[in-house]
Amino acid sequence: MSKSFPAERIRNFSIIAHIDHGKSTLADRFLEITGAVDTRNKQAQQLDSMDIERERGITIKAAAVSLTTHVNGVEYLLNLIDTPGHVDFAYEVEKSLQACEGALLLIDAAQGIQAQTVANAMLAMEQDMTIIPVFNKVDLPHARPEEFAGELENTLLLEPELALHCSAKTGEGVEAIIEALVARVEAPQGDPHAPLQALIFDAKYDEYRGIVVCVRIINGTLHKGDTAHMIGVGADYEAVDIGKFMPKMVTHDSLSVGEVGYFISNIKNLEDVRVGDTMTISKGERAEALKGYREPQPMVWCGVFPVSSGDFEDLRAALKQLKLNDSSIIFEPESSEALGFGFRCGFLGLLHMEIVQERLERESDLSVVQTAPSVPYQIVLKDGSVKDIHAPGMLPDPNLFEEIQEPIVTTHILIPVESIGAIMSLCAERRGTFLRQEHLSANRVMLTWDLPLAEIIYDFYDKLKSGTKGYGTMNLESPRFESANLVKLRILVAGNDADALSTICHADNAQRRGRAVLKVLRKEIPRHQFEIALQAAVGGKILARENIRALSKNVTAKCYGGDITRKRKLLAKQKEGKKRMKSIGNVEVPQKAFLSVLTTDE
Amino acid sequence: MVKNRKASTSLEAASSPEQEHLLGEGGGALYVHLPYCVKKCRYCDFNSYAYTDQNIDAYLSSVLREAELRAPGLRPQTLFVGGGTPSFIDADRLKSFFDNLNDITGFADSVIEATMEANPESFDDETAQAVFGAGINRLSLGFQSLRNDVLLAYDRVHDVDRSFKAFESARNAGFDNINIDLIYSFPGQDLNDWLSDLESIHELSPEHLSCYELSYEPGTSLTKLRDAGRHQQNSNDFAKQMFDLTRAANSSAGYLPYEVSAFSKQGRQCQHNLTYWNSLPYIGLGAGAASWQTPYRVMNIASPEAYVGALAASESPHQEKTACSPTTILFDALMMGLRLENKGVSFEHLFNLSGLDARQHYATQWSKFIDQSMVVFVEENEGTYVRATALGYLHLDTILGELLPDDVVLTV
Ligand SMILES: Nc1nc2c(ncn2[C@@H]2O[C@H](COP(=O)(O)OP(=O)(O)O)[C@@H](O)[C@H]2O)c(=O)[nH]1
Ligand code: SF4
Ligand SMILES: [Mg+2]
Repeated sequence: MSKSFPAERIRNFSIIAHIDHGKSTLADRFLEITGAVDTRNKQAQQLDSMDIERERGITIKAAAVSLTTHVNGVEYLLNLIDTPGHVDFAYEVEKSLQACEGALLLIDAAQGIQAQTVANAMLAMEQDMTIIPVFNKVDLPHARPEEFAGELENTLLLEPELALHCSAKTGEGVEAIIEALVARVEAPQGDPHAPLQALIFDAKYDEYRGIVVCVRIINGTLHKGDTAHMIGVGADYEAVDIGKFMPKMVTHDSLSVGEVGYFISNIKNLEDVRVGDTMTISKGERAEALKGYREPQPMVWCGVFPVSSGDFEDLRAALKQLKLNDSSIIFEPESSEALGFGFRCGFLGLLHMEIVQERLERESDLSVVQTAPSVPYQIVLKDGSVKDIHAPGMLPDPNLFEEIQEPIVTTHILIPVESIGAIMSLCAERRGTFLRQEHLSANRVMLTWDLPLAEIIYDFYDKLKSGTKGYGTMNLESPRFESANLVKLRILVAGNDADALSTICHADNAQRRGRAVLKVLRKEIPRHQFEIALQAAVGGKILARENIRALSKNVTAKCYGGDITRKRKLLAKQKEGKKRMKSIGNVEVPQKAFLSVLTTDE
Repeated sequence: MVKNRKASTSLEAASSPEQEHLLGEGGGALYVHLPYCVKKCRYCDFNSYAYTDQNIDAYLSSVLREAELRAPGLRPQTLFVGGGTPSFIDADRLKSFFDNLNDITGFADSVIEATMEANPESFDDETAQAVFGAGINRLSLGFQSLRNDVLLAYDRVHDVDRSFKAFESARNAGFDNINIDLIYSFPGQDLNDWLSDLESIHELSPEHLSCYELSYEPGTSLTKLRDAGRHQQNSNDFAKQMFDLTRAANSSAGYLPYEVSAFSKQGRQCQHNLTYWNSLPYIGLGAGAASWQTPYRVMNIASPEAYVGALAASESPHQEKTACSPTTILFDALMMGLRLENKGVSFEHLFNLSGLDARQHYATQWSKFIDQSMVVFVEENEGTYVRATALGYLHLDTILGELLPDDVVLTV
């Protein structure tokens, strides 16, 4: 197993699918059929290596696995590149697709084409990949592959007669998929004698092996012991160990054209490896850089604070650890009047944020408080330069910049025809711009809208689901920044600015948002012995107000000789509770009030 | 001694509670706790027990035993016998108990005021005469309400008629210093109901009135009902209206407020309770009774059985003895002293008690409270007083919350 495999008998492919359409299950079947895992001690969904993935049933990290199989007596090497099934933005899938020549487009035969089916298929088409449509779950009594074959043609212009049928659950039709892969997907093209040119399509931190870099060889041959050169990063690393995922890591002496495997060196930081970078050889003739990936940008930000302030350094350590596995997480220290010291963290999207928080609590045993998510903004300064703003506190005075921009995403929404009205008005309410409407079949349509990301991250998905009886799905293209009428909403408590409560929002929403915040505050701030005025303002203009009426009295009716100790203890207990209060001027505001405001999605 | 005794006879002329209060040599205040009741009232969080078949004789002799140990020849200036329901104990037993207590402490001869609490159901002519004859010269009667439905609802075991009869028995026996306890702000009771009840009481003309807002203490059956959503507590705003009405009505009838819930005719302030509010020393005998002997706060074992057992075994009946730090002494003195209406507490007195200069110790808090019109400093002949304003008086617990020291107690 130490020699490289002839390229003409290699097939590199991905499985692309909407969430839950059966990608992981099908991958398991491949592993079994090709003998890569012993069926007796298989664990369901082999490729999802982390516990959390198993529990949530989704794949967080792209993984690769090399399988050998025989078709018509000839041995083939199939490299299966697992793409993340549940993504915030399409560009996360691109990473994996660039390492393949073909893709299995898996469609749940009971549900038909969904938003991510379309999105992933389009990405694959952009890369000129061979697409093999497969209807999965044909064992289900309500499977209707023939009916959905029409949608395939209408939406994706794929020929319905080319579609295969299978049940990843029972294994029915899986052999035929393997045969189709060998027959329809192109073998990798490349020159094994040319200078080494390899694509880094993933990197992960392994507790035992350190940083594991996933590579696909495009041209040339990588030998164990070679000194590799990362063109983009400009660093040299020795190939201490190379090999293939079978699915356990198995050492090989060399990797050649079309092969997919791992590269291990003494790399300290995941940041030192850039996914999308090109690896070549340090000495001798170097190859040119491949067209890389887009750098994923954090599109959702939130504050993450330790529940007990003593845990700040532990939180920093935990975030660093997570970043080793997921270089797309960004964090920087942040301090909040209300929540103390913590970190402002950037994520690719909402789902990414959720997963990171879950992993953080699970892997570090820290309890953290997370503020409501917000999107990044950009301001264009007077001198034309652009500055990123990802916390309201960073927004300068309005007369110090020319314009402010927010992220806009083109959003594809697949829904049953009867929900068109509801979803159209939802999108309109959310400041959307309608682009088009396409019929997939007699009863399903795809709507395409441009929507501000800020409007999507607040319960848009929930509203979509409830507006379509659960049938609606959506997919986001990569965001772009556009100028918008955004303002900083100030919150004043008894005339004093409560900075920790200010937010950036669209001018049209400022009043609604301001009212919602004041309503929360009115509920959470205890009555004082004086009346407290709460105001929401943009600049000097008051948009909303609320009053917290004065507490009429707060005095114990009875206090005699026997009551003194008890009464003192009672007051001490109340004082303990007050330690969790922050004062804004004369007003004591419970931490919970800040939190309720910062976590309110309104 | 003689001089002091004399001062006690000129109470009528005195204007301030502290002045009125007698500071004698030795003496001080003595409290005796008799914990039994017929039934536990819904709102009650006192150390009291519905009587079943407890051995009252054993309890009374234990108290006398404790008196022998802690108060022999005390000659207190005030005595207060509280409960529970002291009148629940029959006349003969009470009489012999007071005689024995007098033998030990000499109270009958030394007191300027000896109060016993009584509940209407158990206070008749016989008990009235027995205790009056045994040296008790002030009576505190638990009327609580002039509405039979309310009495019933809160598990009181007497009706309104019985309350008036008890009052008559007291007067007939010779009591010329009587307090009536009332509770207000029962849900459902409106301002007019309460006003007319107060007027009936004023007609009766007791010397003293204690009017308490119904309170929801942790663990009472009333609090449990409320927390279970089966009882609707009055709003804070309504409670304040009731509070204001109580003070206005009492004042205009000649009952002047001198503490949050205490009202009296001129010169009839409760001397014993002033001991508490002025942070002067007292000894408490009986189950769960508290004592204050600077700097120690002592708390007796609460359970009557365990209390009796401890004394029978010649063990200390103390459950807790705490040495208070100067900051705690100062705080406690403010907690009690600020309750005194139109009076407050003087920095000189606070210094004598704690050794701390309260003006300086709480400089930041005072300036904030003065800013907020919650307290004022007032110069009077004897010194400078810190006093709650009308607003501050309504928010004493807010003030105290900010005065509370961090080192609350040191347990010995
Ligand atoms: N009945 C049936 N269920 C399937 C089949 N393939 C997958 N599933 C189930 O569909 C769910 C989602 O499958 P999974 O492989 O995790 O989907 P993924 O999100 O695309 O990776 C799981 O409950 C699977 O057991 C199939 O062929 N038939
Ligand atoms: S009578 Fe007094 S001590 Fe007894 S239960 Fe009622 S309130 Fe409590
Ligand atoms: Mg999966």
